[in-house]
Amino acid sequence: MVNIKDNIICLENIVKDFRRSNFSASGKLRALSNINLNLGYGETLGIVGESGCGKSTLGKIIVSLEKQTEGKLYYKGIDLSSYSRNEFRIYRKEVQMIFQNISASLNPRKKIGSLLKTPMLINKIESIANIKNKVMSLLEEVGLDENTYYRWPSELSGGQQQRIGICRALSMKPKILVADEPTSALDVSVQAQIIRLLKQLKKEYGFSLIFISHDLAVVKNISDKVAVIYLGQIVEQAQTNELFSNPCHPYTKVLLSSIPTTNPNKKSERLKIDGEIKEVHDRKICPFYDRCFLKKDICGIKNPEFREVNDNHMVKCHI
Amino acid sequence: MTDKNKRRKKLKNKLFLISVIFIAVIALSAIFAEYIVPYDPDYVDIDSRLLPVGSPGHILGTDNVGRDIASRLIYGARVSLIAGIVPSILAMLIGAIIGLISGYIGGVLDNIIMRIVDIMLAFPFMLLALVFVTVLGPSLKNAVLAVMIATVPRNIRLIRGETLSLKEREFVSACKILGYSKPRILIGELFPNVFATAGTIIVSDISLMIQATAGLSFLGLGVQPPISDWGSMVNEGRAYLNTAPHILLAPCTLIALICFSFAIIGDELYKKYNPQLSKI
Repeated sequence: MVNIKDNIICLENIVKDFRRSNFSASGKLRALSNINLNLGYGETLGIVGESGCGKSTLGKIIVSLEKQTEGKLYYKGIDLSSYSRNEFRIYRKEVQMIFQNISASLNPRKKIGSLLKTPMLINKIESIANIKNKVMSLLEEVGLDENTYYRWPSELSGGQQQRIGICRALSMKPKILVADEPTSALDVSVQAQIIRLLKQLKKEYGFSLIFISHDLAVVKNISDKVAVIYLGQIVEQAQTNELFSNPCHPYTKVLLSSIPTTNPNKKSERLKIDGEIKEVHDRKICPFYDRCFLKKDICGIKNPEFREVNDNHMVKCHI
Repeated sequence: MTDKNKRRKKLKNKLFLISVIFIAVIALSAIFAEYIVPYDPDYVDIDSRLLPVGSPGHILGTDNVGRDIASRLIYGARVSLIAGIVPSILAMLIGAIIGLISGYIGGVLDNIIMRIVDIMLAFPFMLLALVFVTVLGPSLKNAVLAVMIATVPRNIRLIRGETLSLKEREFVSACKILGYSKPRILIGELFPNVFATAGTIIVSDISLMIQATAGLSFLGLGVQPPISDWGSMVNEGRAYLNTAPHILLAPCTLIALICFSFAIIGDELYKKYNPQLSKI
């Protein structure tokens, strides 16, 4: 068992159900089931999965935008549901998020200056007298011009807007930063810049990072450990190097084989899966059963438990 | 863009400009009425009654008791413009506040508010205004109040819809994470975003309000004599439709033109703030 105190955040058996409209036959949609995760101080955790697998929901639960249906969330070893108002406010401040939909994450009718100033004033991080200098130095830190202070969000490029998002999260002096696909709306060269910036800031500020993405190459580059999610369940979890060199779950294998190689002579063998991500109505079977290329009889009978393949390498597969 | 479209757009721009100038002229002459009117609007001159349009000294003629129509129109503009602008702004203010709260908080409160709105919207606008003014008693103040109350439900619904789509945007989530309080998100973040919509609706509503208050005055439920606005002038001229139609036609024309102008301005503003519509 993992020691809750050693980790900055611990998720214990997190389940998230979404209620459907009152008229539909199957009342609930299980977006996440039995998620167990933990993140050490200063660590980077990558969360990987395809669209609709629940990785964004997981991010939202961590920053407490959504409330889990079941399970517990421990922050610095204390159960979040036992927090007082004041403690919760501190948690809010210390756990920040940057968004996938970059332009929608900045209020179009606020200038950059006020976008960055207001949160710091609300959380009493800086005095009014000092605030402008503070914002200027933060802007410089994320590689933006001082003139940006007077700009509207719509006048900035996607990359610049994401820098503002990072800057805003950073101004809260976060202990955890949840990055929900921060680069997927950007083009490749800008992606690299943003990743580099995140890495550099992480070194400087020492926050823990949760990096949610569907781009394995990016995740490999930035994270210390990786969790692969399929249909709301973690199917494999390991240190980054271990996972990339020794993938055990068939789904992880498929994902890894889909990374394009840069070496044209090295033909990578491309594993393919058919079909689309499907909702499992029967929770007893393995969620990947329909699409698995290795499936055996047992997979259709029993949902596998986690087993440890290697040191800290957990996989949820019979094979 | 085709030639035809271009020509249409040019015409639209011209119309917009003409509308703005027209309203400006009316508004200015209403403000400085004392200095420009040739006659006291209430001065009765029985000797020169029912003079036709273009008579010397009375450009638009005189009415049944010999009052100068041009002067009365200019003074009437004061009442009509105020009766148009004030209730549309107030109705939007109230509608925006309730709509924002209803849309943002949601749940039971939203349900209750929306059902009340539904009930009010089931009545035709003018009927609703009539009911209120009958209950409150006929006067200019009550007529303005009545048309205002009658428009509030529609505004609530519009702003609530806007709020519903805005609150799903990520900047609202971002604000929550950054520790913004609910009132702050509502007033500081969502309100500026519905402002553009609200502003254009206010302008388009002015013409509706002018028509409605003029209508109430026509029915004798609005402005009470001796003060007069365009609606009551139409009512007074009604009896002389056959012998001196200009008494009735002059205020009618003015009401039509000013409503047309406000409608055009409102339309253009709406398109300006919703660029995807201007392409249609």
